[in-house]
Amino acid sequence: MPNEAKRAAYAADITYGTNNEYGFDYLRDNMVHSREERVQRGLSYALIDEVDSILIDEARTPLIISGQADDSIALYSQINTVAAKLIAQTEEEGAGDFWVDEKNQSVTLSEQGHEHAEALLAESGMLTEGSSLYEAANITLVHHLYASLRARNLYHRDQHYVVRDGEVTIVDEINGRMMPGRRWSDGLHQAVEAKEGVEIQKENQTLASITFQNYFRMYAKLSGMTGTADTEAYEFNQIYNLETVVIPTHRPMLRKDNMDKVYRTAREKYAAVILDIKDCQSRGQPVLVGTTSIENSELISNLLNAEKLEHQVLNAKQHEREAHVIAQAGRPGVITIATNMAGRGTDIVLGGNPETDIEQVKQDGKLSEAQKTAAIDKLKAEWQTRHDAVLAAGGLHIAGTERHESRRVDNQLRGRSGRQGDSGSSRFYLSLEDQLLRIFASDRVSAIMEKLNMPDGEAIEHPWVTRAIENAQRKVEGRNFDIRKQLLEYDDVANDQRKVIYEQRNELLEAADVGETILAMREDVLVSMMASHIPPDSVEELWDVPSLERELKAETGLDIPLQAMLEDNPDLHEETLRERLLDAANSAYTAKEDLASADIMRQFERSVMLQSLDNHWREHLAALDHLRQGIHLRSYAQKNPKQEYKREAFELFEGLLNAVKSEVTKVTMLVQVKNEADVEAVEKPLEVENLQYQHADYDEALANPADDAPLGEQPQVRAGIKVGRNDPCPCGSGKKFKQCHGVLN
Amino acid sequence: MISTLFKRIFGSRNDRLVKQYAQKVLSINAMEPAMQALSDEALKAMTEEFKQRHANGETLEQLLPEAFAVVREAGKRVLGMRHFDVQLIGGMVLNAGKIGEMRTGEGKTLVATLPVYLNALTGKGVHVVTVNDYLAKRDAEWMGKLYNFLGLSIGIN
Repeated sequence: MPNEAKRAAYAADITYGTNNEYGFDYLRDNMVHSREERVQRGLSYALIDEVDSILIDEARTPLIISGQADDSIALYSQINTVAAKLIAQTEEEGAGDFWVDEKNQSVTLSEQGHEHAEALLAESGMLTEGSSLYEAANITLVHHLYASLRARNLYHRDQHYVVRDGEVTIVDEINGRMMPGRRWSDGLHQAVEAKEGVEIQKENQTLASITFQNYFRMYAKLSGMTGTADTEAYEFNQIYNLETVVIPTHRPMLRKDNMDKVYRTAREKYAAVILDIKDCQSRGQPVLVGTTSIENSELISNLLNAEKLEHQVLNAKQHEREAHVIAQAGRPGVITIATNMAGRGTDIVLGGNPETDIEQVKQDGKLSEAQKTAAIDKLKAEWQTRHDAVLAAGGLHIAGTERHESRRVDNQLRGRSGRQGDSGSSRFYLSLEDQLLRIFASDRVSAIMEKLNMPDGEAIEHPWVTRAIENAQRKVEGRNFDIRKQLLEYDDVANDQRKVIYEQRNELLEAADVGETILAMREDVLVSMMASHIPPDSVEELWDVPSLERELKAETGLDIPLQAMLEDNPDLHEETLRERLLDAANSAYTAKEDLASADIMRQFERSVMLQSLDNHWREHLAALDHLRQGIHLRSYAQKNPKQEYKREAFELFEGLLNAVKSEVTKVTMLVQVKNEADVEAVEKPLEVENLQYQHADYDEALANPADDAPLGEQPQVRAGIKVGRNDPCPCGSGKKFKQCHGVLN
Repeated sequence: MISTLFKRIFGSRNDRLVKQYAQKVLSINAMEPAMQALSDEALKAMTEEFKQRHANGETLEQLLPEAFAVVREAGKRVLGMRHFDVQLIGGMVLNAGKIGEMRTGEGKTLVATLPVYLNALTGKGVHVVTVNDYLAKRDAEWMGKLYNFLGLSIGIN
């Protein structure tokens, strides 16, 4: 969408749009080079529809804008062949090269696997003979190898992604929609591409990123609505400070929710589902079959085809038609298979939605008014008969073929039936082979089944079982909440810094004159430069004037005969020398300004600052990313990773500010601009190829320390000198370390 | 135990909130005949009047009953849908910066018009966030009729 259209949309009293668009527009607004390019005008009040989906499900991953960076593409396919030769362990401590932990979504190489991988890598020439994977030079190899193993063992085709037109497209786990243009980060996407043998695209560099939590918390007032918020009320309160209020229904709810049926095998489960569907269809009752993945949708579709039952499939592959199909899913005897939340926001009206047909008649130019009215009445009457027939058959029936990780999503599926006091029913069919039961609840439920001495093909249906499954879901929900909370805690650090940078950036864009800032920066840089050669309050014997002269010449182009000045003027001391230095710099700068014009100089200053800020911020983001990935290892050094992250991120940020200062000073002092053309040459914004907008995969960063156990076996070496908790803090505040930078929260 | 007992006597916080909002619904209902009597033009002119009054220091909270009554009347005229009482309660929950849980088919889209209209009176812009483009477009077109009728502009990002 062109910027003018976007700006107009935001200038309107009311703006409609998707969560991603709002977030990305915010980030893009903070990448512009002039104030006029911005599209948003402040964040005052936001009303979020399907708030649970946006603030909870989608909040597991941040929004990222990235561009492509240089990367060796051949490496991915080479690593892929190596990863293909490694063998998975069947039990955690058994024989094999690596262990796949589905619960934690992680892969860990065993000792044997390391040796095997090293041998394979050496064989293909990627690793020099005799060197180890642990060496600093091979960190990229390890990173790629893990990415490849994850891609091969945790990411499955048609479940996590689809391959279409020679491209790997991510499928949203929550709603089963395809997300073209989105890519997993950290080389995972390339690893998946290598695995599928499609063309590998270049790795991305993060240009800007934000989490939904931090974006939406910027609104002065925030509210949301949904059908299912109550189970997540605690999280809304904790993270967003939003209270949940259950609003009474207009008419009482009549839907009948049956107990879960649990089978031993998936085969028996599907047979039972088909039987249920057939029964409904024969009675003219519409059925909505809910699945958790495209794969399952297709499986059921095939089974129904075998039975010659007509049906519609709603999944990521047909999103254009979703809304229309779902609107008609309430017609008598219609069978609809849908992934989670397919066609969300569209009501299933019993008897089908007559509005589209009526609208067609209304638009028909050939009919007279009377004919139209007659046709509409006829359509309405037909709908009434259908509606009554469906009601008599018991309303819409929901057949869930699997429990989702979260109770909320199951409730959403159920909620499709029984709208506005209509009758309806629902039932979930499960098997012990389902992922959720297999990982989280199998022991308990298997034990129950064993105790009851169940014959094959028979299902159990008991409140205990339903409760055990709900407990399993609660466990997963709790885990996911922790993931989101951790993501937020880490992002909070970046968020504070982002606020500072964006504020600074906005000031730059707003301000006509940044001359004073430049001056202040210059003085800061010169003072600290001088301090590094002439230590404050030191005797003259310690001064290193020649090297200060050299550095001044190199960094600022100033050629000041300091040594000669000192010899001529024995009274000169530190302070007067500093004054002379600053004066010399200022007059040199004024001379530059005279050569150009004040206007051009101001423009030049601004664009230099803007670019320097942007470039360093981008590098800072990558550095933070890197820091976050390795930070969990700190727990082996008996340190709190979050604490360490905060501390180091702060140091990095300080480094960023200093780097910006010296770069801006250096450029403004060394480069001479004469006219507009010179400024434009500097102003040219960085061209980034192929901007991508994505939701990244954060699992890696937030994974358990256990993931990297082999790395942990090496003794940790402390980088600097150890600072004891009771020692004075190295920052020089005079406080004890434990009360200053080492404070634990 | 004690909290259950407490809830039984005083009602849960949810019940109390809903009851509190229901009080306001009565005053909105009372305005209905007066709103019905207004011409389309007069109804539309209310928007300007509210904006003026807000600029003069009246809070959104004070404007709420009248504004909701105006939206309800406009909804009847433009969309042929009258906001139910529970939908008014929903609108108040949303205006208070809370999350409203409403069952499927209760007409969330229509509820949204109430707080959106009220908050748009500040002129600072209201953002309605949806899960996909299709819903953004559908809701904007559908509810846009009502907003346009009341003299508010609308855009899709």
